[in-house]
Amino acid sequence: MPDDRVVRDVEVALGGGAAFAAWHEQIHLWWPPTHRLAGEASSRMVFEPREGGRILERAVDGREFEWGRVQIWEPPYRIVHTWLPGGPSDTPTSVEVVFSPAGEGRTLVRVTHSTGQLGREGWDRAKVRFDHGWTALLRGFAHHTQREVPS
Amino acid sequence: MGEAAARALDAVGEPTRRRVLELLRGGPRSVTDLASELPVSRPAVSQHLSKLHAAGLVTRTVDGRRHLYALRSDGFAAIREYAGSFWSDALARFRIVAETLGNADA
Repeated sequence: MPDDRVVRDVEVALGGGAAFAAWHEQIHLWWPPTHRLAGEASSRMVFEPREGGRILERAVDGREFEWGRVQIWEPPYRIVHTWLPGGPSDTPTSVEVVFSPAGEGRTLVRVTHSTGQLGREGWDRAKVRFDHGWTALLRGFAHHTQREVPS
Repeated sequence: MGEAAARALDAVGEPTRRRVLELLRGGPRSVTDLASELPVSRPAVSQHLSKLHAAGLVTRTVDGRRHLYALRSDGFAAIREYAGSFWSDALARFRIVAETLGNADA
């Protein structure tokens, strides 16, 4: 397992189309309530279901926090989006969600969360991993705890 | 939230520890070195470094009589702890949500 990514999966008792739909339609239910930027558990997650769509958190008072942007939208098979909780758009990590058949009426949902951006060539991977990982971590968590980060 | 994620979040959730991480981006530093650039005591810096080390965010090596601290060479190792726990939680919740609502519609 390469050390620049995290892979997690789960099998659900739904066909592929239904599982894919549940992923983006029910994000306000499955996104862990402990992972919110708005400082209140009652903010609502929204998934804009298209290429370029945003994954965002909308607070009760209307403030929005962007968690990511959809780069690849291939229903009912695959979604690829960035992951940049509150941080600048040049330091994203990438999340790929793949839906594959796992028997009749069952779907395997596999998430691969990796550093860097898919499809970009010629990067010094070690430097990218180092800088992006640390920048994303520090900025992301600073926004998560709503504190200032030195620039 | 998983244990590892909680430790990582706790480690970076404190402003002085984030400042320590920022200082270490310039390369390995000793405790004394770091303390000279922070508005807290040397023992306090040691405590912060212990927490960062326990959370897997910094490495510690011995150089003569000094302990040198450095960021983990793979910055993503830090995010990996958090991301791993996040997605484990999220997927467990997703299965319950999807199967409950999916079956309700059937």
